[in-house]
Amino acid sequence: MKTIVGKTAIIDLSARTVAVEDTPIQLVYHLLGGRGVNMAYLYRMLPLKTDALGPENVLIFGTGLLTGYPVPNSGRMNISAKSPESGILGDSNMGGFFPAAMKKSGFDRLVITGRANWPVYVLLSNGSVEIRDADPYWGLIVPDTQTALEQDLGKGVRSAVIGPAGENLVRFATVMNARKNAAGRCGMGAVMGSKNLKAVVAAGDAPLKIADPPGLRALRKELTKYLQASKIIQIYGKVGTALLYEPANKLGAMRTKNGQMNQWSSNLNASEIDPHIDRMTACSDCTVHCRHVNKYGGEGPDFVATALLGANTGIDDFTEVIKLNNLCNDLGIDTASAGTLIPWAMELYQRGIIDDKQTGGPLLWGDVERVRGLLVDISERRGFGDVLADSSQSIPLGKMPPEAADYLIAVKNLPQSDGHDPRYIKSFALGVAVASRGADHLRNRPTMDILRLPDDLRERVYGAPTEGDPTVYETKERVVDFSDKIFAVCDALGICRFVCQGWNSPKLLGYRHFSRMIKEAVGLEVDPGDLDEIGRRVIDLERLINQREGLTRADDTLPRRYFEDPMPSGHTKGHKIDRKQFENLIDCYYELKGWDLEGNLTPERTAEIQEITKIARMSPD
Amino acid sequence: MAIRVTFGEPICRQVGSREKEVSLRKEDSETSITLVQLARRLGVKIEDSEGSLMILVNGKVAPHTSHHELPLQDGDHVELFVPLAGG
Repeated sequence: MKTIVGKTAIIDLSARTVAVEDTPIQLVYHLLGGRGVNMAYLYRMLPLKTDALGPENVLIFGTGLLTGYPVPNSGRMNISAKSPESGILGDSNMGGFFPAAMKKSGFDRLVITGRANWPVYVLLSNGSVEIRDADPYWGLIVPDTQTALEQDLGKGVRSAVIGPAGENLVRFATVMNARKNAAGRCGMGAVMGSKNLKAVVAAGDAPLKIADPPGLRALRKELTKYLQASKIIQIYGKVGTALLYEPANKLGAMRTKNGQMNQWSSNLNASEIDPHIDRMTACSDCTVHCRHVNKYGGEGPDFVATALLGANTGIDDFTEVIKLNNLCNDLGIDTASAGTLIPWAMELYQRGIIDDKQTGGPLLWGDVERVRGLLVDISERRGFGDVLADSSQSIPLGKMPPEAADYLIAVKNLPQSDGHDPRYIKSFALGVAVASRGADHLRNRPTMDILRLPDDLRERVYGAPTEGDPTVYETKERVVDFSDKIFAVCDALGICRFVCQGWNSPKLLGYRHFSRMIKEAVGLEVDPGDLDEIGRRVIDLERLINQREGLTRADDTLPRRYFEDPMPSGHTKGHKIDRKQFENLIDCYYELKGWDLEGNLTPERTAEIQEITKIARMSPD
Repeated sequence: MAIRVTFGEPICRQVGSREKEVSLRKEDSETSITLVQLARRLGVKIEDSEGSLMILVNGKVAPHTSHHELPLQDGDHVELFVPLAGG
């Protein structure tokens, strides 16, 4: 059976040229699609040491191999480039309806280089690409941009847009489709802004060619039934990720006031959210429906926004947290970075490391109006907002003093993404330290580590014995390695993390299911063992990209606070990360990956990946 | 005096309240019960094929191995949560 692939468009905004070709089948065989194939293009096309906000940066919109196909939770894609926030690989995953619409417009992937001379947007429809004038939309906030594009192009179009933050090159600007679906991490919106690219619009709705339509219909029915029987899926559908706040807080694992505290108000418990919510909503082909439509004109908040714009910022009023979440989405700002950087500045102010002269006035915990004003100032790069708009790069740029680094909760210059303080759960700490895009939970979080599953069940899932106690270091490399690989495969397929085996459940969809989905949808035969190897390959490829940018073992580490300051209260009181045991754990992780003690791939593995990726066009070599 | 039980989401929806009090059965000369017995009395499953609930007794996590043994007495505070940890 012939494998079905779509098209890849190479778009040079400087020259205003577009080349369209079949997506290279060799890349699909070895990396599937989405994040996997994006990384091949990034590896091959990104000039060495390029300025992330310069025209040479390569911006890649890549749908997953299964994005848009009628299989459960296949509504996702990845946007990748060199990150202006971290300075290493940038990669951000988003759901919503744009990813499927992009695939149905005829495109697996857009590889965008150069910089337009004036604001433009890219229109995709039925296999064609047009670069159009975006002057009328420049300066609009996210929902207004989307509405204006719909008015001008038709109600059915789906757009991925930037807001003022992206236009003003805020290093943690998002790419947004719909009200809340964000490619939030790593500043992909700033890369769009640097290219004068306001939006990518998908106007096509052609049905996708399916390898075995009856087989896929039957499989979809079977998998939907299987997923809907899961307790975890049912919980997400009722309460969304807001549920996570209370257990984390009760445990004493809530990032609070920049990690100086680890517990916060019960006002932000999921049980308090109902009065603020109209209904739950979903992405395309979703079986979960995890997202709240709130009463204040937006969607969310998820756990990240609740924890970081709430507890971490010292705010305990749920109404205000939801409104701040909506504001971030309207301006195109990553809630995770904003909810880490503003508390960072608040602690620096509290300690006298920065003062009114720099901040332009008091910067106090829980000051909602100040936070609201700062978000707007960040998006406009105004006053102290201009300092925070540079995120962790504000230190090397000389806008923040060097000692500020001691209080920054970031790894590889990326502020930590989620609300969990990982000092207690050692596998979470390892995951945050080694994640390829910086401090992030969505790359490899072994969430099952707090489920206290029976030993034999854990062994079946992880393929080897592991420790059930979340506070010990031994064997945690195995659970992170498992998560690394299966989540990379999920991202390469365009499947949502919430239905992926290992994400809060030992059930859900694993390699065995993915293998069947791929065969029925696109006709590619790939067995579960091959998928595990593809996951490993994506991680190795990302390692090569980062090493080329200068990263070493020393970068696989944690914020100073996690090593030195014990957690102050609750069940987790006294926990911190022991440096020696942590370094031993890194050794074990590298060994499992087949890397040397410095974290380098073998020459043979490097050569293998170079061979696989060489078909990605316009190599810098 | 009784055992105070707090329910996290979504267990509270299932039992219809955020908090309940469970009295020991004095008529049966009951002076303590285990977590497993308490859960049974409340109609809550503390373990299934997708993991166990996180249970705090007086603010401390009760280890999985203690669920059948730890004696709960009048005045104890038990909190039941689904321990999800994503983002």
